[in-house]
Amino acid sequence: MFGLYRQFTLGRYTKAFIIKASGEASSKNNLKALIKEAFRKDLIDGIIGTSLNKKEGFVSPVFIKCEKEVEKFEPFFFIHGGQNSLLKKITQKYSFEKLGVAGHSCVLDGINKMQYFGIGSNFTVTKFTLKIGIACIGAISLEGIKCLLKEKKVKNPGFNEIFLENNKIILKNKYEKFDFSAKEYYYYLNEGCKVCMNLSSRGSDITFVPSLRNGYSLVLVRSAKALKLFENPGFSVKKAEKSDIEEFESLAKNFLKKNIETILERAEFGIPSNKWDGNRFGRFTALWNNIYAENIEEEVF
Amino acid sequence: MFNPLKRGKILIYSFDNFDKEIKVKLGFFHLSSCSGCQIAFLDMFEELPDILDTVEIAYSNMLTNRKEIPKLNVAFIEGTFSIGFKHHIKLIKEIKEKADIIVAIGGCAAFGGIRRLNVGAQSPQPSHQASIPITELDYLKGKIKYVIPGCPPNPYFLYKFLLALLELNEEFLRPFEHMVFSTFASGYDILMEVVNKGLCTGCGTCICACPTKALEFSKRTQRPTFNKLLCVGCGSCLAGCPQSFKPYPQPVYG
Repeated sequence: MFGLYRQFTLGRYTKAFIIKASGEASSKNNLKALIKEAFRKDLIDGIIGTSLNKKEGFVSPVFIKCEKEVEKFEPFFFIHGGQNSLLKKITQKYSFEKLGVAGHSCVLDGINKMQYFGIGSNFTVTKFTLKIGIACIGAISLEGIKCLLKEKKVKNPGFNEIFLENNKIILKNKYEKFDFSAKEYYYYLNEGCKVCMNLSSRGSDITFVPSLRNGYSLVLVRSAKALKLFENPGFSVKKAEKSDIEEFESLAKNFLKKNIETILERAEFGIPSNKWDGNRFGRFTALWNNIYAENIEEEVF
Repeated sequence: MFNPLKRGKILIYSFDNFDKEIKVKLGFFHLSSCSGCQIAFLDMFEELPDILDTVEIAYSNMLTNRKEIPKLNVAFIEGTFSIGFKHHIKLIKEIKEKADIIVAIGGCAAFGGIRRLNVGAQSPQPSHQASIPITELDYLKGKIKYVIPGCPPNPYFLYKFLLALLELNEEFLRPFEHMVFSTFASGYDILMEVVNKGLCTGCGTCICACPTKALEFSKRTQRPTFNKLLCVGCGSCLAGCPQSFKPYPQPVYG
């Protein structure tokens, strides 16, 4: 009954590339290469993100002040780590004019809302210059990750990397990697992420997909500013093939369908689902069933 | 300067008058509070030159020297109402009569804010024994159109609000119209409306919005934790949360 269009699942983008950083092939290194390039091209003078503290096993927000500090940065995808809580602290401690952000869609939603309404951090609100959205199939808690690994009967549930590969979610620790299907992963997902319709971080300059295919990660460029990152970059870059985009699209569709089911369930029980209340829900179902609707994203959001 | 009246000609309309007529007249009123909202209002003036062509500050105890309250289009009121204080009674009556709409600005006027902790009969104003947010006054029902949360609200937020008010941007104003019906706010809102309803994603925006560090982020649970002793009840956390209301358009890039 429902159709999921690319415009809805991936949002509008002008160009799609696949990128590969030099050195060890991993999606986190590819993101780090993108951030380094932003520093090199003077697009940002600081960036906020979340980093994995391997000793404590926690994911916490970090403020990266220069290109050198990117080396220590350990991005861990699909855990938000309270990234926006850092904004007030960094304005009290540091001086910056061009602030970047590397975060998932809800982190960017928080910032976009802050910029639209002005509620939140007054001093950073006008300083954001580059938003690197991270495509997200839904956040998971640390306990959830531990349980996922326990299901695989892993004795030492340490981990240092998470990414997408061949429509599977891959968790890596020091010694081996474990793959999980969408169904397995969805069980431990944050309840709040089960109502999300913005898996591709639409409100960003550029969307980084934490996928890995022959060492390459997919990147969707949405703004002219972000396109500068790909002019003589310090990493390997190729135009994305149709199959690269379709791989993430099919996974995103899979999760979106599950999310729609959750939204409908919530509606049945009268529990709010962030932006899907009242008229919006009605408009959504009407548009969802209208195959002639050309601008679904604009209409619904 | 050319003055048609002096030459015995009939003046139909002068540009001076025309200019004054089309300006939206704002008034700023202070009840029982710390004046922080008014300071935020003054901070906004860095941005205000953009809209000074269309706005006139007709009354403010900090900016104007007027004793009489003129006819106003929008009256911003900060602070709680004290029933035992004659000046407040007179002021509220006058504002109701002279203002087209009232905007409750800041946590105190909107939800009681820190004045909820008032035990009354304290110096320097022992007459301020009652602390009633103006949204609770039946007398002003229908007159208060919007509520601006925050302690104090961000100057940038006030600027955006004023712009939206001038442009009649209903999408922007709608959530603040709904907030008129809320008479209490606290950090528990974020727990009740977002965390308990399974909508929290752990982005940390509420922590950034909180002016008193009553909300902190738990690394273990990836959720905000609330310390009620530090909360001033300003309503910023729920208003700032990206999961609470999302009528804003997704930004479109070039």
